[in-house]
Amino acid sequence: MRVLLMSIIVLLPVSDLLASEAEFKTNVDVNYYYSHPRDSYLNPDNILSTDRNRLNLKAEASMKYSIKPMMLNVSLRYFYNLPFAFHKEKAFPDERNIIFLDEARLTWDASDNASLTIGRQRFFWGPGFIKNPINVLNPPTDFRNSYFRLEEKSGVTGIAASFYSESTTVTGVIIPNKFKEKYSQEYIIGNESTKDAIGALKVDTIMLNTDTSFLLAIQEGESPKYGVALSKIIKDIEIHGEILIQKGSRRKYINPQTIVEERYKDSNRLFGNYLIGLRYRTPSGHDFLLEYYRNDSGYNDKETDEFINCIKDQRFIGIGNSIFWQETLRKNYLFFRIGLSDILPKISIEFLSIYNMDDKGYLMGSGLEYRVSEKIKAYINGRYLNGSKESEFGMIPNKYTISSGIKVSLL
Amino acid sequence: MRFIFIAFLLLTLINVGIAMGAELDANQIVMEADKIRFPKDSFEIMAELVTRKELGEEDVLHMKIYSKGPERVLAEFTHPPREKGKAILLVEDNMWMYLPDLKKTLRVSPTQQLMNSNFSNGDILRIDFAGDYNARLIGMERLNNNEAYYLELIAKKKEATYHRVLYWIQKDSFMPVKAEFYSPSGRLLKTLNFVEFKEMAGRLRPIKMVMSNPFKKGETSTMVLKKIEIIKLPDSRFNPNFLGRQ
Repeated sequence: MRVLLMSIIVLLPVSDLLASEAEFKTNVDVNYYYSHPRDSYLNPDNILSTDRNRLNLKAEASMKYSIKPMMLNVSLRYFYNLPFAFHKEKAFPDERNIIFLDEARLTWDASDNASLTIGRQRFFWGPGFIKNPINVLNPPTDFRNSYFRLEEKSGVTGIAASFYSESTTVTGVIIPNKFKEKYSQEYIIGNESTKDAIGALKVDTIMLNTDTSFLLAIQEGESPKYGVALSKIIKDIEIHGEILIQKGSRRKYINPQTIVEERYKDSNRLFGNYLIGLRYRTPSGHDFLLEYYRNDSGYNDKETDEFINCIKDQRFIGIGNSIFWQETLRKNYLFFRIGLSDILPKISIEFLSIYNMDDKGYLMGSGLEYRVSEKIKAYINGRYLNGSKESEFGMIPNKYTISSGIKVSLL
Repeated sequence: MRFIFIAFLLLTLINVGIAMGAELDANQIVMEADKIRFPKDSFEIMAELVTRKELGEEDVLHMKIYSKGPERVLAEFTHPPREKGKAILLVEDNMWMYLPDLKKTLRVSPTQQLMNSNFSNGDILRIDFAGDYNARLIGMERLNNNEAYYLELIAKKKEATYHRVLYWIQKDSFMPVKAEFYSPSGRLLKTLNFVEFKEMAGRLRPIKMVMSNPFKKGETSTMVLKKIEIIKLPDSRFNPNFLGRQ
C-alpha cells in the first residue's frame, strides 16, 4: 500500500508536465463470514478450534499511469484483507491479515506491434475457466479454496515481450528464480521458498476460425512442457480445450516420517494435464459452462490411501491443508457453472459445482449479487462441501461457509 | 449529329434511371444504405447507448467503435466504470469479448445481448448488411411521409446475426428508415428505427437508432453516434490478443 501511495504522490505532479493519463480504482469490501466445521473430519478429536464467525475488511487499490510520448504504462494493484475474528485468539496466525501485491509492472509499447513488460504481472493463459493447464507461469487460484473471483490472484515477477501481427501474437516470458514471492499469499502462509526459474514461449493464432495457442515452457530441473489450446464457436456454443504434456513430472508426496511435503521425481512416462469444456451464453446473457479436467499427476486410489494414512492421526488441523500442495489431489474432475445475469432487476445469480469423479466428493457453491447502484453491490455467497471422510472435499475441515457483504467502488 | 444526339439521350436516360434508384437491384440498394450508415474508410465513432427499462431506470453505456472495413470492427466500452475496459472485436466471421478483470479474450456469438441492452453484439459489429444478406425487393411503402424500398434480407452466411431482416430504405436518399429482425422460425425478435440524421464524416448519416424488443414491453435501447472521425488504424489493433495489451 505504501508503494502505491508513494507512486501516486510522485506521479501526480509529473502528469502535468507530460501528456499522460492516470487512472485510479479502489474497492472496499466488508463482509461477514461464517464457516461451519465438519464433525466427521479424519480424526474426531481434531476439531477446528478457530472462531466460526469472522468479519473481513478487504481493500483493493489499483493505479494505472500512462505516459503517452514514451508509450509507458505503470500499473500497480494491491489487495489487503484484514479478517477480524470475533475471538481473536482463535484466529489462525496466518489469517490475521493478508496483503498481497498482484501487479507492479512497467509496460513499454515500443510500437503498434511490440510491447515489453517488466515486473510483477498476472497471466491468464488458456480458454478454460476452472483450470488452465497451459498457464504454467501463473495458474488460477486453487478452486477448492476460492469463490468466484478467479481474477484475485497474485502475479509473478518477470519479463514478458509480445509481438503482434494482424492475427498472430508471439509472447516470450522469463520468470527468474531469484525473486522471492515476498508479497504472495504463499509467503503469508509460511512458504518462503523461491520458485524455480521458468521460461515460456507462446504463439497465439487463428487457424480455421479457431483460436489456437502453442506453448513451450522450460522450467529449471524439469523436462520441457508442451501445450496446445483451442477455442471455437459452433452454433453459438463455445468449445474449448487445453492440454499440457510433459515427460515425467515432479509430483508431491508426504514423507510419512516427517509429515512434511517431499518432492519426488516420477518415471519418464508422459504426463498429461488437460481440460475440455463447452460454454453457451444465451442471447439474454445467461451463461452455462461445463468442463472436464484431468490431471495425470493426481493420486490414484493407492496413493490416496497412503496420503490419508500419513495425515489421519495428526491433531494439527493445518496438515489437512497438505492436500493443497498438489495441483489437485485426484485425477478426474467435472465442473459445472450457471450464471444468470439480471434474472430480476439488478439481481444476478451464480451456481457452481465441482465433482471429484474418483472419490465422488463434491463442492457446491451459489452466489447472489444485487447492484444497489453503479458503485455499490451487495452479495451473499454459500459453499457446501460433501464427501466421505477420506475424500478430497470431505477432508476440508469446513462443511459449509456463508459469506455476505457490501462492496463499494470509491473511485 | 443525329447519332450523337441519340447516344447522348440514351446515356442521360440511363443515368437518370440509376439516379432514381428504380433500376438498382435490391442488393445495390442495401449497399448504398450501408455506405450511408458508416464510412467505407477506417474510422472511429464515439457512441452512447441508453437502455430505458419499463420502470423508468436507465442504463447508460459509452463506447468507442473502431473499424477498418466491415470485416474488422472493435467496440471498446468506456463507461460505466463496471464495464470500462471491456471490448468486443469482430474479425471476418470471428467475434471475441475481452474481460479486463480476467485479462481474457473469450469467443462470443453475434446473437448475444450487449451489456443488458436490446442490441446484440452483432448489431454493433456486423455493419455490412450487403455482405451478410441476400436482398429481395418486396415493393414500395410510404414510411414517415417518404417513399421507401421495402426489402427482405435473407442471411447468406451462418455467421450473420439474424436469419431474416425486413428493411425499409428511403427511395430518394437511400437513408435507412426501419429494420425488423426475425428468427429462423419466423418470430419477430427486434425492431430498429432510424430516427435522427445529421451530417458527419462528410455526409448525412443516421445518428440515432432505437431498438425495441417485443418480449420486453416498455424497454428500449437508443444508440446515439456522437462523433465519427476518419482515422488510420494499425492492423495489429484488430488482433484479439492486442486487447489485453493495455
